[in-house]
Amino acid sequence: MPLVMLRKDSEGRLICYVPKKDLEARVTALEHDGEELWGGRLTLEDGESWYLEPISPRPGLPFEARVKRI
Amino acid sequence: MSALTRAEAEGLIQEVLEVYPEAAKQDRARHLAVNDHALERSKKCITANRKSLPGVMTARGCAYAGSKGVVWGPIKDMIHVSHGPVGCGQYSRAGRRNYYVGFTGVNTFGTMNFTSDFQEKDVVFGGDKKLAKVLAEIEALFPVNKGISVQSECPIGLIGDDIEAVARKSSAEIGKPVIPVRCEGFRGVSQSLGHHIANDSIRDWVLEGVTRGESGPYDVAIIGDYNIGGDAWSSRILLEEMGLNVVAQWSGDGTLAELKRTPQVRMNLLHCYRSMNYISRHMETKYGIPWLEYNFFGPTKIAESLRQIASHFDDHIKEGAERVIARYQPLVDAINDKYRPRLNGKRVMLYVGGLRPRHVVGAYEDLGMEVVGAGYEFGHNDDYDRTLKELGDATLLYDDVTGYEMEKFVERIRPDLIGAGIKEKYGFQKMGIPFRQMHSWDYSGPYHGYDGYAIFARDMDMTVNNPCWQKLRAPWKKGA
Amino acid sequence: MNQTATAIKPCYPLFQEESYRRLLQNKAERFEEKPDPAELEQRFQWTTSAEYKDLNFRREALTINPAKACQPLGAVLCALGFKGTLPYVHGSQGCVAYFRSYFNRHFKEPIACVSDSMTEDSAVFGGNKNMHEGLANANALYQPEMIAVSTTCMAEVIGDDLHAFITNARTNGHIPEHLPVASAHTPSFVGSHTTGWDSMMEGTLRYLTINEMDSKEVGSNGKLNIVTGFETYLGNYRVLKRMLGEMGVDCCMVSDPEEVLDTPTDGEYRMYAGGTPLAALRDAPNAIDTLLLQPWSLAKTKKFIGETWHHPLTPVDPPMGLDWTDAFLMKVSQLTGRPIPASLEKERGRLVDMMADSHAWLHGRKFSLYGDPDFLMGMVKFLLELGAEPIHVLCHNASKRWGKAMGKMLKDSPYGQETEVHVDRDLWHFRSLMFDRKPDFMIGNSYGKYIQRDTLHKGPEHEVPLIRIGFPIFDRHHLHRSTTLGYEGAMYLLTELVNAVLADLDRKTMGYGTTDYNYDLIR
Ligand code: SF4
Ligand code: SF4
Repeated sequence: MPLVMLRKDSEGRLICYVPKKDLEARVTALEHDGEELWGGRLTLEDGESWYLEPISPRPGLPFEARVKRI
Repeated sequence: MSALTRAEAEGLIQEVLEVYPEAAKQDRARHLAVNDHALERSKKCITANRKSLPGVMTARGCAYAGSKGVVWGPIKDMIHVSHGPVGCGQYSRAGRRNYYVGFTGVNTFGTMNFTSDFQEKDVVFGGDKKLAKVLAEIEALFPVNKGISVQSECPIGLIGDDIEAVARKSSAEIGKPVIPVRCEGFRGVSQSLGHHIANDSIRDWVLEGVTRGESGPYDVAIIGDYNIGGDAWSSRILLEEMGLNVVAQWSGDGTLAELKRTPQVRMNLLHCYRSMNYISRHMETKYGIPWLEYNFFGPTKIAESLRQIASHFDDHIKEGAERVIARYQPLVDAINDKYRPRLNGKRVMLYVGGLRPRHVVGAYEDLGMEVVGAGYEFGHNDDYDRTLKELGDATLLYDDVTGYEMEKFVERIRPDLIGAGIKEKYGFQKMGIPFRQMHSWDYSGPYHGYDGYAIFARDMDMTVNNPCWQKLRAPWKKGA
Repeated sequence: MNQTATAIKPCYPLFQEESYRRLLQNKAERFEEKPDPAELEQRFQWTTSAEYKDLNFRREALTINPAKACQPLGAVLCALGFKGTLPYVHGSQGCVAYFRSYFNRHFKEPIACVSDSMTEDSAVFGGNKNMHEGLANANALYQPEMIAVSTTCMAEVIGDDLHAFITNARTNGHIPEHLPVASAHTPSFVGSHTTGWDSMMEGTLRYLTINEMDSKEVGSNGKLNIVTGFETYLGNYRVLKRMLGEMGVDCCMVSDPEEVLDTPTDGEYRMYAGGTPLAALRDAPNAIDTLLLQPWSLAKTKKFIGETWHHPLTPVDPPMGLDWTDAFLMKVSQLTGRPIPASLEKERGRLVDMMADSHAWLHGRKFSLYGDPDFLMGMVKFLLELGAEPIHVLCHNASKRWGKAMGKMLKDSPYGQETEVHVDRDLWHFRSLMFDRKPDFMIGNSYGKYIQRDTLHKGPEHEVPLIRIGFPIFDRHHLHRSTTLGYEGAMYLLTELVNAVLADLDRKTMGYGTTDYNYDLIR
């Protein structure tokens, strides 16, 4: 369950940062992206997918969370 | 000679790897690559931030160097104790040229060396008692200090000392921060973990309990500028000229007060990503302060950065940025007119720490020069990610290059200039290759900002075009 | 706008510009919480007071601005002096980066040295694996004739056994059977860089000769061995060889880095150059005797050569200045039966000539010195010969016994009656001493420049100018190529001293329309 940080980059895109891997990747798809529910399956630009326990309501960014590898 | 083709570069790598024993060959192969613009991610072509192989002559230092030498050392009104034997502190004393002004020995301490000078008994019986005494003696002799950091050298972590307890106790006694830093040299694989550990210790021991302050509309902090040769000053002057209010410098010419003031800023401006992204991310999470990477090497990147910074502020600042760019344009033109004809087309190989191999590319290009090889001593993959696009396709990349590899690369490529560190300098000069130290600016600088660019151009020209390089062969040997 | 393309200003004088002055002032006033300048000035004055000196000398645990370095640094210098030898440091890599850059800065030369990059897991499991891979890699890449292994404090604290590791490496085929690998434990929490030099020398001589002693016979090769100790003046290796050469004495300079630390810029990088051939080291027990030129810093080497090689180890003082060079040459002559030739006698005469020419500017001048133990012995001896008066002699890495011997030498001279000797003190102590009793000059390495600045800040009449003699010298170029031993070295020292006196006098007497007197053309 690695710790990741979700943040917006300077162009406003959602970025997933995995400190352990020195990985910064754009999030290309997010399962739940509403005000009421946010999280679920995260797909990164290099194709990797992670699972983030959905959160309600949508948290402010940046946001630190533990994710599961799918 | 023009740059290598992709096939030539790949061939060169294979050739250089030949001499290694099998296991070492496989390891090193992962650290040598040819740049490929088609790649999005550096990890597809290069491995970084791994252990150096034993016995190969790496240029890397240790975590202590990253913490005491880079991050903590420049904070001028605190005393940084090299805790352990005498060597580490002596070798790193006043060597990095992170400038500051102050009454050294009274309220600033940057060029001094404080050490607990471990003796055998301290190793055998533990050094905590000695440390407590060291801290008390510091307070007695230097009462104007703002705080003390304890920079652990290798033995500390091996003998089981509890420096945290000592720090807490003496902090209570002297009423000032005393910060234990577990940056023992054997931790991690290079200086880099030392940066991280130092960032974390600032987070835990300086920013802990500090709340988001009242923010002025234009408050910013400079993060990751160590004021080498005055870099932070020649950067700050531009930010101030465009209307921003720089409330803190991390950590060149920095003070404890500035560190503590930082959670009030609107934005953290991050120059050296490698060494201070950690604290920037922390302040983003904890205080919601956004951070922005910028690059103040060379006019193209400076203008780009000024505009990018300004885009996060109001029109006043946006106009300020344009005004600054316009104001310096005549200087930039004059510099380029003078130096481009002398430097155009010259080829450069770089081997520096964790930032400059990508950040100075633009400045060289502004002078008409081309970077044909680049590598980091302690970069991570996120650094290489940021590098691929800055460099030409098919540029040679070398991570944690060994003395042997670098020599072979240089022999083949014969660049017109090498920018690396003092350990590389003299060997390559003997080979007849003009060389500039790109850690210490070779005792010159600043190189940041417009004022710095003028010096950078002057320095590259004097080194590339000095007459000495024509004198290598005795005249009676000419044509032989 | 502070730059123009025609007059580009680096840090100085760039930051003198009005806009930068304002920037710095603004930063200090608004953000730094800097104490009031008057308070700082008052505090500064306090650091120059007698009260502060007392407080400073009561320190027991804290070291400030040491005048010594750690053991493996010395070991690396020693190893560099052996032909084709790769210095190899077992332990953390950071130390090696430091050793290399420290020497790079002093010699302005490349320094080849590897480490075996021990990390956290080696701290747990020991460094055996690092040693095996390290030796194999180093040998494959750099093809040395010999590898000389020393240790960082990490390896020492976890208690790695060098000898066993190296033996394992050989039996397991990580290094070729016949590749010599010498070694020495060099814990940095014992002694200093001079100790490390001594340890590496002892370790190497032991390794190369201990099992071959049966075939050795003292005096059979007719040579004299010279061991310099931690010696950074390249001219000293040269002058010793020259003097012995002029006497017709065959000598073996045991560790001789003068070539590898002074290679030409001609298009080729030579990682190995010159150095004492391994065959000469193996043959060294056959010499007539071994002269140890740093008697205070070569205890281990002395013990080994005495007990194993059975050399008489005729005692000599460092051949610095006139008397001790005389004594050295006479000892050599006595040991080898070769007379001191006219050429050296003439050179001696030239030194005396210079001493006579310059005595009026040196007699009674006051000097305070710091540095390594044997350097200080020789330097003080020469100062006394010049009629100069040492005021303070401070050594961070000497023993109490050394302090007594130094004191005795001083007491025996009319010029040493007022001298204070300080052992195991650092340069912050030295700073207090400069304010306490002001000498005319201090003599030492580059670190003294901060003390000069501080004394100047107290007032021009308190300034103590630094004469750079010692190690390291980072802020002046090429001084390491000079010579401080022999008559030739004394000539260099004397020239440095007298011209420092004259330049200082010029500086003080060049006030236009105020101090025109004594601003003389001829001196
Ligand atoms: S860790 Fe030890 S061996 Fe290494 S530089 Fe420091 S004192 Fe010297
Ligand atoms: S440029 Fe390199 S050495 Fe300098 S601060 Fe950045 S990472 Fe560190």
